Amino acid sequence: MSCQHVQSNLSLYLYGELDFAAEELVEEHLLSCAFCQQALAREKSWHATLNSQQTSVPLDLLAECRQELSVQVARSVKSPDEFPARLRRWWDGLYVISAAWPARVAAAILLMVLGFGAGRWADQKGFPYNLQRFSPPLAPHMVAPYTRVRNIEPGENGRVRLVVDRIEESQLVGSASDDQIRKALLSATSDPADPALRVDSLDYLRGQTGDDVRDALLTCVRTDRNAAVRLKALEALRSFSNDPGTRHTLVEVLKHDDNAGVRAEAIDVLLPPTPQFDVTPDLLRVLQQVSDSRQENDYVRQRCLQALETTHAAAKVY
Amino acid sequence: METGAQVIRNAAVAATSERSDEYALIRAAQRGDENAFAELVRAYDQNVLRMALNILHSPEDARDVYQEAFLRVYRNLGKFRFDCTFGTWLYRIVANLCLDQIRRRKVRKEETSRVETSEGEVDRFQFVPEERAGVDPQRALLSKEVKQRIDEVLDQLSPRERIVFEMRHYQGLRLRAIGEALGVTEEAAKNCLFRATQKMRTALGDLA
Repeated sequence: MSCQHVQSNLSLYLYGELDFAAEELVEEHLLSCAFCQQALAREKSWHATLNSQQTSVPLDLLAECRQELSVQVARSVKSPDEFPARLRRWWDGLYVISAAWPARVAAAILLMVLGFGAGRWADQKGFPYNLQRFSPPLAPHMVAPYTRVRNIEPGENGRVRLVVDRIEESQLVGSASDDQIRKALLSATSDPADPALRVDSLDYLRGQTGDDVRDALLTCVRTDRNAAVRLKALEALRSFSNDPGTRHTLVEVLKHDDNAGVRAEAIDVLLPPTPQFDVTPDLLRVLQQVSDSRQENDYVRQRCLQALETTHAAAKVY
Repeated sequence: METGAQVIRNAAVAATSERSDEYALIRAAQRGDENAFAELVRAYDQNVLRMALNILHSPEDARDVYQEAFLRVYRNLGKFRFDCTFGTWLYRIVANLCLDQIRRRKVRKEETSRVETSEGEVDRFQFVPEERAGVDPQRALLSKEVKQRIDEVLDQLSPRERIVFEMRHYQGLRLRAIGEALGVTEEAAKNCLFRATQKMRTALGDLA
């Protein structure tokens, strides 16, 4: 193996990406060639220079990214089994059957013909099920999203009797502070199925006053299992940051919440930039404990230290 | 004292346990467990952000790549069938997003990281806060010059060479995994890395 060949492969050699035979040849050559040994030392040196210049991830950027992602994820959780999603999956399934576009067009035409045929047949013969109970009549695929089977009982002659709840859709339009809308928003903050709905409702409650709003926000902060919802509730709690009960809950969040972004937000709400807040000894002690904890997230510790600096308190527990 | 065989066995056990932990996390996230998804994000997101920052030299673009990559993972996790490792799948998404971003920049004819200010042209990257405090100013200046030179050389690599170099040198991925992530053979990834290191050596050899 020539010196030129060895030297051009030194990086791959250092990365351990040469195959066994090539690596053996390089090592054999290096043993007996001082010139290539020097080249290897230079190669290692510029690799080390690159390593020393490696960009460190700015922690504040990372925290922002995480926070933004959790909100985006919460927004995209829109009932994965809703009808359009199922329809899309079914349609995607057709793509698997045939990827060629003429076949897709043919499949679409076939579906249209089947649809018209079924419609005409239904007009003449009626549907085989007793759908007239659902007034106005819905197409078969529309039954599921609007109804929920509450009970199933055996009927006469081997038939089955279903008790079905029908969900009526209606709209409320008005200001977020209107009593009826405000109550609906408060109720939506505890919707168990849809975190995106909880986030949106909290967004509209932000800036509103009243014990009912504060209590709903505190409940979210304490009990919601989704971090994005807790973050949104904390944002909305800024207008209650002087309330003693709220401050107590925020201190508990800072001590116990398992999400670093939420804990950092709790510090922001507890200690807003314009210092018109009540720094109790209890709060100072928690800030000092958190900033001193080795288990704590770096960003949260940093925020605690900043907060302590703002309040001119010592950063250590004595 | 541990024998060589014990060390290897312990390393193998640790690696297997890590893989099975990740498998369990992915399975849980596929069932809709948000905490498991968050755990997966935390396991990879620093590397993803660092990779995007190194390749794109722009915190804004890196943030976009971060968001889009993990949202795509979130939306498509149900379709992940363990044909490759989760990391390979994620890096494939990140690499493609970075390539798209670089291509878009070319269309916009945008400088990668240079902006005009009252003090002349500067690198936007220097606005990213420096974490290491108390560094000797002379050394910091030298280090800044070296970094600037490295960035210039990296900018001269083709997008694919830059990504392969980043994935191998900084992320420590094997060429086989890089090939899988980029949809090319291991040999093609190797050639790409070979070209990239040749260029880097030529341009940075005197720094050694």
